[in-house]
Amino acid sequence: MPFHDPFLLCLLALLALLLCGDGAVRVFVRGLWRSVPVVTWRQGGCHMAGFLMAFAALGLVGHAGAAACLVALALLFFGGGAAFRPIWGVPALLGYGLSPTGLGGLGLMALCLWAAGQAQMSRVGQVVAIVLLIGLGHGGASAHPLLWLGGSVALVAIGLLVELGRDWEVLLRSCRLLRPLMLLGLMEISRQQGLSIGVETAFCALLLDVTCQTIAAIWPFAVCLSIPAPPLPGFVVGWMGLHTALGLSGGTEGWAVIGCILAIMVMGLSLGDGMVSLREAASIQPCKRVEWGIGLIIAALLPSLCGFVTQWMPGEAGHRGAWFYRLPGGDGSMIALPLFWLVVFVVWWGLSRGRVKTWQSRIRMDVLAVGMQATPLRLRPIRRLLVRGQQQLRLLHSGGAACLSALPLRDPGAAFWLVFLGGVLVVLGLTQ
Amino acid sequence: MKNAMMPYLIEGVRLGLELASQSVVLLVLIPFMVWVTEDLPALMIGRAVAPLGSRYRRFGHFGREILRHGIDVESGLMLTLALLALLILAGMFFFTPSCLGLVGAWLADPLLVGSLILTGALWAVPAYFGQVVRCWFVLCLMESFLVLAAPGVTGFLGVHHLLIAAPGSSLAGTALCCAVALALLTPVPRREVLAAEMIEQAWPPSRAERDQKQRILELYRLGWVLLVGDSLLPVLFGLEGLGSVPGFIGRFMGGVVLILIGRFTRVARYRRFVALLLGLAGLMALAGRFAV
Repeated sequence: MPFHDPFLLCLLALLALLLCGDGAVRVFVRGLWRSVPVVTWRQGGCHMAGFLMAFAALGLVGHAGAAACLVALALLFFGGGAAFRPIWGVPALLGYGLSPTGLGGLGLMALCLWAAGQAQMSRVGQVVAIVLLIGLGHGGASAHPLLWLGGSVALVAIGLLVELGRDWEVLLRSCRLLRPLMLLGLMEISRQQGLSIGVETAFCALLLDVTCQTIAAIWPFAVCLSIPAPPLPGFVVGWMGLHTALGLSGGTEGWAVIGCILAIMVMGLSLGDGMVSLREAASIQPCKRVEWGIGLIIAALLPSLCGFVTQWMPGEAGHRGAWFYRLPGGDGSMIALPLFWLVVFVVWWGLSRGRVKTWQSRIRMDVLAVGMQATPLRLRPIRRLLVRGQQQLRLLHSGGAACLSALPLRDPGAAFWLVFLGGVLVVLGLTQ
Repeated sequence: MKNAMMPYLIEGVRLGLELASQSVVLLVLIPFMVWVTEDLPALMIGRAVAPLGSRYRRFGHFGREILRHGIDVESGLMLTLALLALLILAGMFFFTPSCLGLVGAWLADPLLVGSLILTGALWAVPAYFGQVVRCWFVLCLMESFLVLAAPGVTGFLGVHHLLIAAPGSSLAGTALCCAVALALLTPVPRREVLAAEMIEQAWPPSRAERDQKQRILELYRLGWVLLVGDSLLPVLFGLEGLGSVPGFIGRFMGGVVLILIGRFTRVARYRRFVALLLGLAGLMALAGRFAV
């Protein structure tokens, strides 16, 4: 059992946090002895079952086939038919079951990315899909980090080609999916190149990123945490990712330029995610003063806690207390962000001590949303390119349909299953 | 137990003294710097401006109001961030040359401080979003190039130490190009823009609060000038003792001169120059990295 693996242990803890905080599960548990509406109770039951499947899948990470089945079940429980399409999901999972660390890992990645990008899924379901992907794909990422990085970018690009015709905000929303995958890839590349501090920092950034998403799924107000404005954790994630990539470019020979590009990419993803977060934050109802206080404390402590966990898990007897006054970048630079928070709190309290009592806690996020509607980025050339690609894809699709109709078969579905069966037999023949 | 705690206590007292003296010097200098950035250009093109004393009176009034009645929570946060950004960028050390890195070494990261300033700009005028995003990308590139030219440095202080150790390296050229690129950008809205925005939003309602907002934005504008100056002359960053004040003023003047040159020669209108300068900075960084 892989429970001594610190990485999986962190992910399991995050899943447990999600389970405790999910509203639907709470309704389900309450419905066990009190009467609640059947529809919501059944949905809560689905979530509960999905969580159990996800736990089991992460526990069985050594056995790829069983884990793949459990992933499919979990996604079905969370999102229904929209999240898991058997027509390509079954072959993808089969590929994962056959070669979990090779190309088959991309199948699982496609499946989970698709599920996490679906708007029909609840936020909790999306985060569970991301956690499952990271936990199960870790083996593949550590075996072939370049394949992992390239595959994640390519799969998100393909997803954009399919989805972009509807609205181009999909582009921004995919940033949130892509960033943890890139951080995981960076971590594994650093491990391959032997940069231990880079591994630590990337792991801390990854943990912080997923934790922020988890908290935001439970508590919608916490989406403010992932805005990349400086003292907030969203900025820390971007900064740490950037410096890990830069450490890669500074510490190794072949990575000088690619590391820079990766660094800019990570920070750009943070920015795109921040735009979505700002837009979501704009629609949140005004909160109480206590909630603002809790949010501020979480924002100040979360990076340090994640770093502490990062160093505590592998059992290294390093200088752990240092996480509570400074955060290292992956390349030897560091920022004293916790101290910065301390000074901010002291000065802020001194300046507006008298006004806290009468404050009506209205930070006007709606104004921000209005400002951001005005064409924030000019993505027209990219979009034109993507739309053209989409047309090509449609052409290809119609061509494929014409080919299928030329075959002497009544039912195109049967043709698909026959081809699928042939493919499985070929793969089995190749592996034996 | 008591004896074991004594060194920490002394260190803490020294740190507090350090912070207090830095803040005092900074607060004394702020109105003068605002006068230089806002009134001096008008004076140079022959317009009549208010004397320096009126700036001091305005800031004194601002401070008295805050001390007496407090400031709104939201503006208070923004004022705190602006003051801290200025304190970090000032990079003065009086008693403790390597003081735990509280304000100098570990926070003077161009990306961190620049993002602080951009946050303030976005808070004041949300319509500046496109501008802010552009500046942000320039900052990211600058950070990458600095690290590429000098792997493992920590912010401006690391650049300073490296430049002292190896003068005339490609790092200086990279920093210079980045500084010129930053000087051509104007992320923080000007006074008239902010006034128009406040009238349009009808917020904040009272005149005193509008004045407060203008004062806070002046600090952010100053922060951007200092950022340009710091990346132009990192050699003068983080000097020790009383010599750090002239170094600070020198860096500030460098930033002002650079920005004014950009404005008076109308170069700032051509956005392509920024891309060109960044490309040049990247080339220099790469050349320096592969030369050794």
